[in-house]
Amino acid sequence: MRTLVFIPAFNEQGAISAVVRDVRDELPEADVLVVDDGSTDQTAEFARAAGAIVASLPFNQGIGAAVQTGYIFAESVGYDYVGRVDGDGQHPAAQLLRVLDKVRSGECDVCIGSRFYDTRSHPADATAYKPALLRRVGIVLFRWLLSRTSGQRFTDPTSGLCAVNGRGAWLFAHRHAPDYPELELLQRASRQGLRLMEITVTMRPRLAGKSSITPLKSAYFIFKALIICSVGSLRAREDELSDESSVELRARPC
Amino acid sequence: MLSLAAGHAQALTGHARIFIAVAAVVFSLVILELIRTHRLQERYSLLWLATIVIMLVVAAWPGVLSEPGSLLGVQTPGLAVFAVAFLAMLLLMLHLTATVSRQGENITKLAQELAVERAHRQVLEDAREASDG
Repeated sequence: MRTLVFIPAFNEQGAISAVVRDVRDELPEADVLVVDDGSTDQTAEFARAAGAIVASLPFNQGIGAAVQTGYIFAESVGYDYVGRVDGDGQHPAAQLLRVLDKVRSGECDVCIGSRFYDTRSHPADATAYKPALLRRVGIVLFRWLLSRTSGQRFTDPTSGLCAVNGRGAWLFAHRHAPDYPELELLQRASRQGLRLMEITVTMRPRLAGKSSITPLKSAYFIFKALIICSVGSLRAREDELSDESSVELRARPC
Repeated sequence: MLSLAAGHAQALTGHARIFIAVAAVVFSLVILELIRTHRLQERYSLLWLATIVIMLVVAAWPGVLSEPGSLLGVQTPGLAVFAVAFLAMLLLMLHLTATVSRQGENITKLAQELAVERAHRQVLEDAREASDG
């Protein structure tokens, strides 16, 4: 059983070496891939020096394309399990290990690490992770949208800390989600009948550099996500994947 | 462009017709130059050449627009020119944004394939180095 951990990164030279080393220490059995999204700094060189395989996009294509690239690589090699952490050091590899183990134990097909405690069961801890206002608006909205499609409750649908098995990797490699990959991919996974799960994880503030998400971008993303979700529910289930590929998906061993 | 003087209100003035004709000729020269230097694909050049033909027809027989104009509820031929041209522009832009979307997706696919190939090559090279050393 082979595991791949991939790290989408755009101009993260300050953090990438530590992130790669952290993953290699915690998951010595896994291969580590850094998807360098057309970085203009030395992200690719540092990642390679730290022992990662590097998939360099020739120019910046955005987070959605970078994430999909990770799954395409996983598919092309045939990994059984695929984990993902952010390139800024926010996600401790030890937490990824917990998320990954939920998938490796067969409990679910897709597992996300949530930065939030469920405010219903842990009201006191609700303040642990405090994103900017617009991001928070987006998260609340996405939660609602995702709960509506999946019939499941998710506290953190924009988390980049997640793990999937071969079925999840196959689905995520074959469908492109340009802007908000987390939300859209989860929506698709739940429509395809994959078993989704969310566990609470603790995160760190980013190690270096700055987030690519600005208030204006947040607003723009929210708007686009709304379009994606509403169009997504208009696109009936049958076209999610053609009949042929659905069969292939079902036939894949978990 | 439009004379509002009595008797002229229903037709394009001679001035406007000359303007349209001259614009069409200049336009066609630009397009021929773009095709000649391979900067415009033939399928788009057809579209533009059709536009030029329509412009010339309107300049020669301004009456042809009264029919589509009245369909749109526009009584004045001068305004009909703008109404029809505006709709054509909207359609063209829709077509172009659809083309740009498709091309953007193709570019992404190419970039991803290249990135994945680069990663595969690195894995192979590393394996070769390991077996050599």
